[in-house]
Amino acid sequence: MEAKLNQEISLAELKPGIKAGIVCMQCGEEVSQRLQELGFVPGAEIEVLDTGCPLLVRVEDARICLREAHAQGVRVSPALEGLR
Amino acid sequence: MQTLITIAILGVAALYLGRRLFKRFSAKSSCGGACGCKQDIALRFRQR
Amino acid sequence: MSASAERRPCLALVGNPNAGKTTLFNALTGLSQHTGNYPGVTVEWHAGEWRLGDGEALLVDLPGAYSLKPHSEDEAVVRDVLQGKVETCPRPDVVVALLDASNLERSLYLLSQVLELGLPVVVALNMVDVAASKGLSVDAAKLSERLCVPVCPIRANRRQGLAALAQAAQAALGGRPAPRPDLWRQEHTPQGDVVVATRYAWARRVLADVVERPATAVVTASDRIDRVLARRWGLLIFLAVVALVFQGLFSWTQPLSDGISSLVGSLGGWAGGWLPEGALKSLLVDGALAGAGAVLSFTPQIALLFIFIAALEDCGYMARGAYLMDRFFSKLGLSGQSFIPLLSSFACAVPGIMATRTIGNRRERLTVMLVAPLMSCSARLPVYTVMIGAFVPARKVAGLLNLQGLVLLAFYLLGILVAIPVSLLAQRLLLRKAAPTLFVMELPSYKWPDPRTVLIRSWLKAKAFVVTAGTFIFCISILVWGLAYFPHPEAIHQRYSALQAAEPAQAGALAAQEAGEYLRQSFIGRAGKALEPAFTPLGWDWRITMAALASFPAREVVIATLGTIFNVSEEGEGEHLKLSESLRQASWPDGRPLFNLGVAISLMVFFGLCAQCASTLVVLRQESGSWAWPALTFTYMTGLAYACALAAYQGSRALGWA
Repeated sequence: MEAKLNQEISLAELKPGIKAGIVCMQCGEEVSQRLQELGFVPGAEIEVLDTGCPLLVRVEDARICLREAHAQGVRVSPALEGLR
Repeated sequence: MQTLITIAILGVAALYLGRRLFKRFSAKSSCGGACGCKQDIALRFRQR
Repeated sequence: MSASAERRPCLALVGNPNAGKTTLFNALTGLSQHTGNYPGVTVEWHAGEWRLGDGEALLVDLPGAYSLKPHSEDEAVVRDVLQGKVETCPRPDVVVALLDASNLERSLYLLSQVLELGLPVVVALNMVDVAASKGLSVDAAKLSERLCVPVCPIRANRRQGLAALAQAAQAALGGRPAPRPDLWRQEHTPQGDVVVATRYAWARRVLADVVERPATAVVTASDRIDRVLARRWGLLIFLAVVALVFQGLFSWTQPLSDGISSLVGSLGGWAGGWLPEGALKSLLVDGALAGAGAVLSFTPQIALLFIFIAALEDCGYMARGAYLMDRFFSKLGLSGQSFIPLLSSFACAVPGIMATRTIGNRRERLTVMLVAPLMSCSARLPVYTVMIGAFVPARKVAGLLNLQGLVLLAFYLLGILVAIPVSLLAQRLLLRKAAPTLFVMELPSYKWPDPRTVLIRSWLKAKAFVVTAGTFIFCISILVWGLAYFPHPEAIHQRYSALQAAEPAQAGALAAQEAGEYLRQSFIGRAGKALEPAFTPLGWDWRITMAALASFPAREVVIATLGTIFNVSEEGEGEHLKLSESLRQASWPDGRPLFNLGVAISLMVFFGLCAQCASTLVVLRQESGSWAWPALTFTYMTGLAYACALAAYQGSRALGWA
């Protein structure tokens, strides 16, 4: 059980409907900056609305779509949801 | 007589076209439309 | 000149994209707004007059931005204007920061940067209703306390709260600058990611118990709509909507276009009545009026397309379109953002190419600019209509579908199909070194499009189009007329005067023949004759070649030119029908019919793929910054057009259609 709490996956692997918290951004610098300004910050709540390319996600209160390649660099953890 | 006037008008049209093209693409900026005061917000709203 | 005494205060409107900034700007400035370009960049400015108290202030609507650390030309302009570094725009005295109540943290990210500028700031809190639909409630008074700046709740689309905003703005003029946010605990300012995180941390601190969230997430109407429109079948629905609207666009505006054409035609007939015969009359009637008529007859379609696109963008559906199309576009090395420019190009490539400004990635932008002219624009439609009407049998395929309609659709698809390999090739050969494209986009909440916003923006764009492209095409029409008129030998006139005196009953037909003869002698006629051998493999004779040549500066003239060459007498109405008849009867010197299905196809293919628009080339130069791109576009398109028309004709011969 303890091991599951620390599970960190990429946004591309997150299943739809499961709420997660953003851990960190490991994309290229330009992509990271752009995503961060749109609300992708550590601790923010994120949920995948639709898989496919591009991916459609909800970050806090905004709906954002991004390509899978970018999503792979976003590290999230389902256990962090709700913790700010 | 008419022919002369016509050629004159054609000449004007050609000059006008040429001038507009030249004005657009000479000088530093690549702003759209006729360059100059029209693009200047302050001038457009008579601030100076 | 007491310029400084007259100087009005200047305010700037900043905020995230999709926060309702444009709606607010339109509500505050209405029709007093003007638009233009910032120097050195392809970013538009919008400015207008805002009534504050008993005076008028200048309000500048800055481009939407998520941050003042620029990622695009748009954001760089916002930063530069606020710092007073743009020569043509005065440094604002007050900044009106628009916050989206349903996305407050992100709005505060930008606000934290704005508060550091040392200018007085007034906050307009918009979209409180959208926030409420998500279950969020915002305490504006508390927010104002925390930020130490006035916060005015507004609803831009209902024009509520604007008076209070105006009061707050007026009070801020000449007031103290807004206090800097207490972001940093330390002395020095850190860089990079840490800065971003710090700003968000500040935003959260400010918003703690200013915003109340519901216990469980609320499913909004937008979410429900998206479940249908932004999923599996969403793409088909979107394409169907677009196809339907385009269909409607062309069929509704047809009567208006025809009306304008016949009006101009009648005007020409009336003017011709009292002007003495000669060059000047011909210039005015056949050159100037015909040119103006051509431009004006396309304006309804283009204006309606602007309105349609503006409405789609304003209601939020366009963003879904870009999202859904991205999958397809990414295979071509492009992204969903390329959809709108390419769509606009179906009305006219000029606004389409200008719309590529929203594409941040240079490689993608240039590629889209290169293929935009391949999208069949309004000016090609008359060619298709006449040729298909005259040479494609009016049959039904499989008992249901109209063959003529299908062929028309096929020619529209031709442009798209050719654009695919061209864009792939362009990226591989020319733009290899440029950075690959980034596609990250917000899907805003759905809302009813604001009629003011849609109509004002469309009106401004349509006006700009008619004034710039329109006058350009008009001038070109006059010059093409000149080439088709001179040298106008007197000998022909004498000969036909004699003929008409001998047979007055044939006056109409003789007049038409005379016009044709003048054309033969003209500069452009001679050029057509000279180039004829190059075009016989396409099934063309010198007359068709001449018409194509005359169309190079502007396609709009082709129908009128064909009419004159094939001796159609000049009357406004029924022009197309008479032209079809004349074309069917035209023949080679040895008597065989000139036109048949194969020739019609090769002509349509040529026009479909050829770069016959000087306006487009000029805009390409303007938007790309160098003549290389228009030169390349002209060369590749003309070459392609020739090769494909050749193949089409020879193929038609093989199939027995020619």
